[in-house]
This record gives sequence, C-alpha cells and structure tokens, in this order.
Amino acid sequence: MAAPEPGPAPAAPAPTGAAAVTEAALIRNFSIIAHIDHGKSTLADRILELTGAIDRREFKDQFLDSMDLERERGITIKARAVRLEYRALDGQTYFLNLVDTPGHVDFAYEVSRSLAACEGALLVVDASQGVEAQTVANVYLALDHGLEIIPVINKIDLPSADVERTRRQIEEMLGLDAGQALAVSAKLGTGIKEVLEAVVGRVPPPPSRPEARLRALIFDSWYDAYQGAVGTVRVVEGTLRRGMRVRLLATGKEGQVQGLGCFTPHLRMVEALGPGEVGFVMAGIKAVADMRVGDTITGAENPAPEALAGFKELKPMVFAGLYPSDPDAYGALRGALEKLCLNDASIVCEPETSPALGFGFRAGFLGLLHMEIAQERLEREFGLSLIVTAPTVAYRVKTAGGESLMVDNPARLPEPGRVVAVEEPFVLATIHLPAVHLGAVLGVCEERRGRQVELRYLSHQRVIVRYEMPLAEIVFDFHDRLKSLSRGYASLDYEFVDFRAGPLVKLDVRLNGDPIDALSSIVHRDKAYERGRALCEKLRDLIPRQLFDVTVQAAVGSKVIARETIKALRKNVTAKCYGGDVTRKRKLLEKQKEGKRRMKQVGRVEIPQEAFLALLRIHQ
Amino acid sequence: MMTADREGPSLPDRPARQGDATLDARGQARAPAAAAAATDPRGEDRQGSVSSFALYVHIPYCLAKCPYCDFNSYAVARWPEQRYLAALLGEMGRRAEEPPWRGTPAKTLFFGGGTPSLFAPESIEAILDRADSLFGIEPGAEITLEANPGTVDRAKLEGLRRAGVNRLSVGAQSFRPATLETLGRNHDADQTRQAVRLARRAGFEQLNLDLIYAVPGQTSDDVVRDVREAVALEPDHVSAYCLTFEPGTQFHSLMKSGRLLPPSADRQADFLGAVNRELASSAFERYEISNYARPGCQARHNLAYWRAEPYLGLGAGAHSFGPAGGRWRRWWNERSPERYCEAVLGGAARLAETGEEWPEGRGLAGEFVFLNLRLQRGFALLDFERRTGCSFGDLFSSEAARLVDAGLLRIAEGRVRLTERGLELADSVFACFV
Repeated sequence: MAAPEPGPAPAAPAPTGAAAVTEAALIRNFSIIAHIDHGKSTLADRILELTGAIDRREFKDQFLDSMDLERERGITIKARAVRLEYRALDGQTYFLNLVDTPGHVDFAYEVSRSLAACEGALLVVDASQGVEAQTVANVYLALDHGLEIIPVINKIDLPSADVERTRRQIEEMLGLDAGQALAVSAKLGTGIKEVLEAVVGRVPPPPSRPEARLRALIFDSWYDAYQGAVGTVRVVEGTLRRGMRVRLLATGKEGQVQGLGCFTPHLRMVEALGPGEVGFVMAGIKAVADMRVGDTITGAENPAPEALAGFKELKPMVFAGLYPSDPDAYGALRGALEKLCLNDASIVCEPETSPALGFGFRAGFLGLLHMEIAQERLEREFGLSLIVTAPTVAYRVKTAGGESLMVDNPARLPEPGRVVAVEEPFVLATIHLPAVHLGAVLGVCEERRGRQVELRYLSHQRVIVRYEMPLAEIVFDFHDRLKSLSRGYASLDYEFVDFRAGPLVKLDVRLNGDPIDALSSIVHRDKAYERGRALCEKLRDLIPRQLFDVTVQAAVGSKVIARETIKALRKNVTAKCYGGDVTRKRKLLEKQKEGKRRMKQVGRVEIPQEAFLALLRIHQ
Repeated sequence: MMTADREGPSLPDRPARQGDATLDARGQARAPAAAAAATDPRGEDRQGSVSSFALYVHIPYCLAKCPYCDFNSYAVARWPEQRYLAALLGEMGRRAEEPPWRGTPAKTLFFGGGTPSLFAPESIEAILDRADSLFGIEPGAEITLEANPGTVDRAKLEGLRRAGVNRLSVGAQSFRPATLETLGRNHDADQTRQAVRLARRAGFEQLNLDLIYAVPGQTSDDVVRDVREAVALEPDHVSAYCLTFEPGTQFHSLMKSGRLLPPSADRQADFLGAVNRELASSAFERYEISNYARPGCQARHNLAYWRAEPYLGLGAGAHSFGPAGGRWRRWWNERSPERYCEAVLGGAARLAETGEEWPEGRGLAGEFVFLNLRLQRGFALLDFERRTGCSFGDLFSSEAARLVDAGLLRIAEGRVRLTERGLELADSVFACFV
C-alpha cells in the first residue's frame, strides 16, 4: 500500500503555488439543491465536463455519486466537495467549490453544516414536474444561512416542460425571485455556461481575512484505516498550512496537519488552504469522534478565542438491540461495531444481554434511517445476519430510592413498585407546510400527543407550525406520515426540550406464554390497548406457521390485553422427488434450512428478523 | 426366483425371449451374474460394486410444453429420433465398459421424459435389446414407459409390449375438462380411458396413472371425482402429485404476477387428505409421499431412487448415481438434446457429462435419510449403518430427538419412519438432515 505523497499530484497542473493560497475574490462556494430525479447528478456531470475537470475518456454518468467512498492513492476518499476551475467571460479564472449535501431529516445537522460552508446554492427544479417537497426544506435551510439562491429550471428539452409555470411555482411556493431563473437542459448540455456565469456573477465571494487567526469549519469527516480521521473543511478565516499544529475547539484535541488536499475531482495534495477554500485535512487524529462535524479547527499556537457558531453535540435519539442471528457471531458483531463507530461518531453502543436473544449490543442512532443504514452496512460490509429489536427512545425513571435512571431498553424498566415516575423526552417540532394540508397535519400532531406552541402564515400559501411532542411519537414514522398527508410538501425539524412525566406503561409480548423481552415497549397508558392489539395482529402475520399452535399475547403487567393464534402448519411437502435429480431436491431443502437459519429460535418458536421490528410496522 | 422386491410385482419376462434363440443365449450367459445378486438384497456389496442397478432412459421430446412442467423436455413438431437413438446406444455402450455397470444386470428400466411414447416401438426395442446384450436385463425386470394418452394407439401399445415394456405409466393428470385445460394437456379424459383399455388389451399387466391435484380452480369434490375416475380404470398404481409452481415454468410466472392463484397450504392439505382417503378405501396403500399401490405393485424403479440405490441414467439431462472406487459418485448429463447428441456422437471423452459430485460423510448420510424417509416404511437403522459406516444416533441424535418430540418421526423396531403428520410436513423434517 503506497502512502500518499504530499505535494501536488504530478499529473495535475498546479495553479495554486506550492504554499500560496487562492485569492478569495476568485472563489465561489456553492451547493446544488434538488428533488431526487430533478437532475442534480446530471447537472454536476455537465459542470465537471465544461470545466474540464474530467475528460471524455474517464467520463461515466453520475460521476460524483460513483466516487462515494472509493480509495484513491491510498486514502479512502469521499468527494463531498469538488474544486473546479472555470475561465469566465470576464477573462478571469475562478475556483468553484461544489459542495454536496445528504438528504434526510436524520441528517439535517450535516446538511446545515454543508450549507454553512457555502455562499450560494443552485436550486434545480424539473420543468415538467415543478417544485417538489424534498426541495422545500433545504431551500428554507439555505435561506436561513443567508445563501444566494439561483433557481435553475432543468429538463426544458422535455415535451412536457413548462418553464413559465415552474417560474411561477418557484415564486409562489418558495417566495424566491424567479425572474432571473436559468432555463437549462443538463441532459443536452444547454445553458450550462450560463449557470457557471451566474455562479461567478451572483454568488458572493467569501470574505478574505488571511491574516486572522485560523478558523475552519468541519462539515464532513470519515475514517481511513491508515490516516485516521479525515475531515472536509471550509476555511473561514486565517490559513491552514501543512505541518502546523491545530486544535479542535469543541473536542479540545490537538494534532499536526500531515496532509491537506482537495478533489478536482481527483485527489490533489496542497500545502495550504486560505480563506474561503474548501478541502480535506488529515491531522493525525485517530477517531472520527474527535473530528466532529460542526467543530472548528484553529491553530494550536495562536488559537481563535471563539468557535464558529452552530456546533451541536449530536445525541442519539433512537436505541435498539443488535444481536447476531447466529450466537457464535457475537465476536464478529463486536468487531464490526467497533469499526462502524470509528467511522460514525453519532453511533453509541454498549454490550447487553437478552433472555430471548442472548448476547448483543444496545446501540443509539440519530434516527430510524440512520439505524437502517447502520444495519445494512453491518450486514453487507461485514456479512453479518442481525436481529434488530424494536427501536425505542430513552426514558428517565425516578425510583422510590430517589435515583434517576436512564432506560434505553424497555425490558430494563424497573418493577412498577420501584418506579415513582417515568419521564419521556419531549421535543419542539417545527413543520413547514403548504396551507392546504394544514388541517390534516394538525390532526396528526394532536393524535401524537402534541401541544401547539405556534402557528404562523409565512405567505397565504405557506404555514409554519411548532408543536411540543413526545419524541417517541415522532421518531418512528411521523416524518413519513407528514409527507404522505401533505403529498410530500411538509418538512420537519425537531430539537430536544426536556423530560416530562406521563402515564407510561410497559407493554410486553408473550409467545406461548413466554415473555419476549426484545419485543417489549413503553407506551402511553391510553394507547396500550390499541398498540397491543395491532402488535399481536402484526406478529400473527409476520411469524410463519410453526409445527404447533403459537399464541401471541400482549400484556401490561399481568393483564393480557390482546391475543392472537398462529395455527400450526398443516402441510409442507414437495410432491415430487425429481426422479434421479437428488441435487435439486437437496438445494430446495438447503434453501429452506437457510431460511430457518435466518430466524431466531426463542423457546420452541422460530421468529423471523422482521418480527422484531413489528412495532414499527403497526401503522402501515 | 431373482432378487425381486417383496413390494414389487413379479413381471412377465420380455416376450421376445421366447422364440428368439440369440436372446435366449444371451439370457443364459448372464445367469451367473444374476445369481450372485441374490446374496445381497440391497443390490450392493461392501466393496461398493453392485450386483444390479436401475437403468433410466430419458426421451426429452414433447409435442407441447405443459405450462407447469419443469422437466428437461422440449416441445417439437418433429424430433431427430434416429440421431438421438444412436446417441443413447453410444452412451450405453461406453458406460457398459465402466465399473460398476460393467457386467452388472439391470433390474429395472424406465423410459421417462418428455414423452417417450412419441418414439417408435422399434426404437424402444433397439434400446432394450442393446441393454440386454450389454448389461443383461434380469428375468422379471420391471420395464416402464411413460405415455401421454394423446400419443398412443393400439398398434403402438402392442409394439411397445412386444418390445419388452411391461409396465405403462399413463399421464392422465385429471378427468375434468376444465382442469385438463388449465394444465394445458393436449388430450381428453376419453383418450385416457381408451389408452388404459388398449394397454390392458395389449398385455400390460402393470399400469400406473399419474394425477395432479390442487390445480387452480379445482374444488375438493373435483379432486375426489378425479381419484374415483382413476380408480374406476383399475390401475395397479397411482401417483398423485400436488401441483408445484416450479421456478422457470409458465405457471410460476403467472403466479408471481398474480394471474394464477394456487390454493392455500390449508386447502392443499385438505385435498391431500381427500386423496389419501379415497385411495385407501380402494385398497391402495400410500407407500411414498405421492405414490399409492395395490399390494405387490409398488414402482420398483422409483424405489431405487428413494432407497439411494445405484442407478444409471442415459440421455439428455439424465442423472446417475453409483459407487466408484470405494466412494459414491453422482453425475449428470448435458441438458440440451442437440448438445447431448453432439457430445456422445462426437466421441467426447467424458460423453455428455456436465457435472459431478462425490457425496460423503454427513452429506451422504443426510441424502440417504431424506430419500428413504419419503417411503412410508422409512429405513432400517442397519441399512443406514451399512451405507454410511456410522450409527444414525451418533450422527443425528439431536435432530431425531427434536423430531420425535414434535411427533413427526418415529423410531421403533429398528426402523426410522415419518409419522402420519410427518408425511404431511416432510420438507420440514428433511431440512433438518441437509
């Protein structure tokens, strides 16, 4: 394995002198906001082509997407920002940094940090589809950060394109001036030059304070087995140089800058990054947890007195048990989780045991999508077969002994006699939505035990509502519900407020009389009956018929509140033996056996992985 | 008397043997080998050479491909009968030079397909003559041919019988027009009845009827009526198959797209119960999961598969299994008839073989178990030990205990077998042994 050589890549021209930085007046930092399928990747491809960043020979569709987490010259790269050179009509060569953003409420914080690294954004809207929901939330976020937004109406080559209507929509739904919106076809390459001219002409250059004390914003970080934590940064003021000692203001960690670089989109090492420049930094810091998104890098010798605004310590919101389907794979799971946590500072985990599932881990995630991504990576990258238990929020329990316990596993809720109060986390949820869907959205907020704190019309078509709600009511499927109720146009953001006591009870599930701890949940007393019934029905559908009858019960304490029966399997036999073709019969049986292996045997009952997530699916 | 299975019928010898001096001579020449076979009722000895074997011949052609069928068969208007026949004879000749088949007589022959009844009786006769001269066909051997009722007439049946075929397996499938239509069969119930009548008249003593049930649209009454219609034709043997939607078939894709709805597992269980009751009341014993026979009329050829005894398969896509150098070898042929012919007639060193495996240890033992357990009588613990060199308890004690506990398996009087309920849930049991 060749270690990356510091210094400019031999093949690439080096317009930035060895130690010189780019003049801020020639830098433009921007991102692209678009609904899925509206042409973000295609527009990025055209921009890369037009600026000569990639030549025809290496071109492939969706170039940037395809570069996610590849290795180049010994470093795991993640091209979250690409540096492009563009010779504008005014004769000047500009340096454009195209910053990519993730797109889900679980990662709202990462999106906000990426936007904070920019001065402008291209808003891409499909001329035949018009403004779509996913766009709306990010436009508001971009406006909050004071970004210059340039509307770009794409796909004007389509017969169904309606540029004027799209222009009106952008004005009415987003409150943006669409008078100067650009009409382009990324597919055909029409109008791309105009887009780049608009970026140069309308996006303000970053402020230039090269002699100020260094402050650089980390807006992405990842783990490389050889380099440790690698961060993508935007230098706000001062200059980041190779060899200098730096300090991270939030975590207090210090290190020496061992490498600086950028992606063009190919990796290029540089000696320094000046104000407004975007690039990556390796500072000999091992864990991603010590190089957090939103943190500020400053010089260790002459540190800036204040960090950049906006850093948040991300707290896991959702907890679930992770167990290997095969008990022998516990060690493999532990190793895989250690690696995953090195890469993702927002996952927390610790060992736990379950009477039903054996040895495993309790892990905390930012949200449900985050959890699903982690599960998928563990299964795909590490070849594990996992049981993930019903996710839950963390409760605070006051005991008779005057203690205060955090309970992130419902099965660990102390005996009712010992509990004085169960408190649940409340959040302030902010929802942007079109006024036409207000009734439906208010309805679901009330149903989820929300208390309205604000309702304000932004225009006659757009409303903002704020509700205080139990976190447990929104982390699982609230976002999906909101989207379906508003045909996708509502956006959601939420922040933690406090813990509040409520009439919360533990809902247990029993299979053939045996309680299954991994299926327990904590619910509001008034909802226990309904949840219990729905859960039993869902489990009846998810657990395959066994060789004997299985009763499914939901209980609060000793009281059974719902019950279903899964009747015993009556027939499972293949009529034919396929003559002499024994291999075929054997393969069928092996497949059946493999299916059994993916189930968890609890007592005599075989439970499929999906059943442990039944709690999530009872609203579907 | 030869090594005839207790369960199987005693069948008339090939009629050609009377009156044909050369055949007589060949028959006598084989006598010593045949006599040796009597010393081992399992058809194998400890050295792994065999005293007799089952011979399968695959005829892959059909006039139409049934939409549920996933066998290695091809719909054709005309078929290269002479070329394919030459390939079969060529393959047979080469196998007859190899152990363990060399010098070993066939105790059963089976012409399967496809539609073997498409072939001229002369072609079938040529195969039987060659088998007799190369291996020897034991006196009283069971010689079965599968027939589609739409492809036989009196002359053909008489010709087949004269050629030496003594057991006819008739693909009736159903007697109800709507069911036959759903199944895409190109014959009607009357043709089936006529075929059975003509077969008896032509001298076939052993007669099987194939039935398929749990066809979409069928009611429990329809199933019962089909079984009664079949019984009324007085067959010696009935194979009743629950319809399976096999991947790769037209039925499977229709099911996947929701255009064809198989009956639920519970309804299939009801149908199976009805089939069992009907056939039991007419003195047919259910001796295998899908096979029913009058006393003494079990299909001896198929018993060889279920008992994991040696068999040699000839033709496109045919599978074979037998001892080789102290181990067990399984191999299979090229599936495409044309490529099969090319390989064999082109003198390929490995004939048309495209794959092989050497089952051993726990794998071989598991196969022995899941094949034998298809039989109502299961297997003897002693036979298991003789085959695998291990005791059943040593190898599968925890699986067996769990299954006995669940009421699916019974171990008694030195034999292991499925219970009534175990037969209905056989795949759940078998999966424990693979």
